[in-house]
Amino acid sequence: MSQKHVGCHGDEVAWSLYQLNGAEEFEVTAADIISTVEFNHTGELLATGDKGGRVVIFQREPESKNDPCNQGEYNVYSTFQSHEPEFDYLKSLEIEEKINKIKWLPKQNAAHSLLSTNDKTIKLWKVSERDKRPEGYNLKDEEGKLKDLSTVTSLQVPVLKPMDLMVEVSPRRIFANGHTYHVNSISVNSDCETYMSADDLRINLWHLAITDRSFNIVDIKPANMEDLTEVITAAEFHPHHCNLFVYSSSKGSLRLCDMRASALCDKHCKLFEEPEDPSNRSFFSEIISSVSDIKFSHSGRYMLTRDYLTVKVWDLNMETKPIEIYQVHDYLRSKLCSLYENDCIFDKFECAWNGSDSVIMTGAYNNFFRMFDRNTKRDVTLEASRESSKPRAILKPRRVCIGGKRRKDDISVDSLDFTKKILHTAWHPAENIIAIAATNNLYIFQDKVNSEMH
Amino acid sequence: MSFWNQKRKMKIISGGGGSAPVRLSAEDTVKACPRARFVVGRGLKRKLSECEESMADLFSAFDTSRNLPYALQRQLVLNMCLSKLQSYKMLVEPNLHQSVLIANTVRQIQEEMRQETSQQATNVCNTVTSSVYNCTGIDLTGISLHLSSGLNNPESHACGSCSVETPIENSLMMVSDDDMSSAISSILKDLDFMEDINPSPCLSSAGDDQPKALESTGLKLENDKLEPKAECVFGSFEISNSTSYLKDLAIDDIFEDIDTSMYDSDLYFPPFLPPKPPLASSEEMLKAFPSCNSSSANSICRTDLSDLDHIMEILVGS
Repeated sequence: MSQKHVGCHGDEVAWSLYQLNGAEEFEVTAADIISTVEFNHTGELLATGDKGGRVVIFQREPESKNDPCNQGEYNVYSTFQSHEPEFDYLKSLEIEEKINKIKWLPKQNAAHSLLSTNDKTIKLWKVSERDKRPEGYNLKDEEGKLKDLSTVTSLQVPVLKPMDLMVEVSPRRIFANGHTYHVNSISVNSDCETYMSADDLRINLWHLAITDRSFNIVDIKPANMEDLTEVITAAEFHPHHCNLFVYSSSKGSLRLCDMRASALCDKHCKLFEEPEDPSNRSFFSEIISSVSDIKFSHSGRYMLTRDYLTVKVWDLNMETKPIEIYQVHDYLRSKLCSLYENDCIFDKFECAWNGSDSVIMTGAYNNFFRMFDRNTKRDVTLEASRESSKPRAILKPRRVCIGGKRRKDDISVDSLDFTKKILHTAWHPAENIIAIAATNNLYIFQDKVNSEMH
Repeated sequence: MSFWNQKRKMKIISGGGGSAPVRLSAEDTVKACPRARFVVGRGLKRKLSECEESMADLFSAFDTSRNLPYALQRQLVLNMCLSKLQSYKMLVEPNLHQSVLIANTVRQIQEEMRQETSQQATNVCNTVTSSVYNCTGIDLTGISLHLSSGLNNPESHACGSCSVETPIENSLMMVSDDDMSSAISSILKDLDFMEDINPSPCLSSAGDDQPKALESTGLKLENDKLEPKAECVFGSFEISNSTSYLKDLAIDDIFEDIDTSMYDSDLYFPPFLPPKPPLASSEEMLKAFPSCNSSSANSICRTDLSDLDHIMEILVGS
């Protein structure tokens, strides 16, 4: 809406298309739709999950000093099938293979590890490289078959010989049967030993090495399900304090819990809630206040939440109201009835912090995404599209006009495409590189100018 | 899809009523319904493709519907909620998050309607008794007593035959028990009931000038030489208040050969139109209805109470 630009440090917007993965198709297969995007802790790897249960890992190439055009692209590193469609025969339920969330574990050895989850089952994957193979076994031949012992006349020491790099992904743990409802979040604890998984009504705490038991740390399921008025929509561990976590609800509130207080954290230690603005009251007030995503800032001081129309920044020290509220697409406020009818109102947009917690990003419709600079209070709308983003060309800010005067290049509210939505976004942990999932395409944009200033 | 519903709605009403003074001409209908040629037999399930609707349509519709009386908007939302809940019933594992949000919206609307109706009920009793009493000199105290007792008696459908609309008072009262917020299932049950009783938007849309409307109704009652038959007092009040032409329409006759429960809520739309010309022309309304009302009306009405119970079992069970 505003034409002002958001740079992260400078005044100019300098976001440009870095690369684009995904085929240009007129009819996208549902299985190819990207359902989650996540950078690892160094930003070297980027993982996406899709509705078909696949995980694709991209690795950033080292920057080449000779070739200025090759500035460290993200290339496919590994692709594997994380989840398969399943059928629960007891409940007669199909379990979708769609990857709801991916979380990287902090790297502790040469291998990388990540957690992926669908609606019910969380899996721990080990991603390792192999570029050498042992040769010269005494009892096995090159193909691994046992040799005829009579032919073994001498002993040799096997040696490691170099070979083509191979990336192996292997399932290390499968955490099943922990959830009755749909898992919406997983979060790895800062102790690097535990993680939690949240579904609509419960949050479980798992040890990364133990799959046969988990501890239920939050349970909001009422004795009588008819009394149910609120569900858990997202949950995350504090980035530094391993005892603290927060979860958000469908009523727009956030509950911060301290695991030291009791084993079952049904009683929050802080409740963050904003009083309802009576002037904006409508039939859909509750629906649009439902929190779709929550992210702690890297510093651990703030929390970022996304609801249908806004993103909010909360200070952990202030429970009564958010310290900042940014309108993502306020022009939809008058369209809520239609958006309710076509179920768009239930879309779960995610949000992300930049590396220094100074800029926040979230998605919108029409393949637009928004950035808000917390210091300058400037905001920008950018578009992820094949047509408008040529490689290295600087993205033009987009503007949605609400009736009245329409400038060139403005797009009117009525012509927004609500089937093109950017729900999943991720920001590189240190640099100004963002990954945007638009249906089956993964866009990676870079703010080159500002990332050099970073 | 909603266009399509609208078409069906119109067909039924104008077909059954013959010269019934439905204000929506066939031309209007066709103009508003590009898909009118798809006349689908009643009871047929809509296909997904027919549900597709461009956002532009929706938007224009909603823009218009901002001019709609609040109560009508509310009814549209309620219809949508119920239709969504109904469609979730088909799913083995409905999305709990969405179900809860929708159920809460329903609760909120229901609570609102309940409050309004209890208010109205008081007004109605007062106005009807006082005006009728004063003007005619007939002692109607007994009637008013009866009325109010009827209102509070959930089983009382005495007025049902007089007007399809009357039951709203009953059911709303029935809803007003303190267990209001308790169970989604009971809420849905009640709401299904309210679907049958649609006129409340009509009544409440009168908003501020309600007492006036009621007063004139009282007068009308007098003019019509109302038979002081307790059971019918409320019914005739309803009819005269909302739409005069409903009187001419023997509603039960029109729908003799079809399962009216499917169309109950369709029936209620025309009555909204005439009483509120200042707010939106009926043509605007026509445009507004299709998309905002959409599928809801039809599908909801297929629901019977036991179905709704069943939905809840599914939604809530597991």
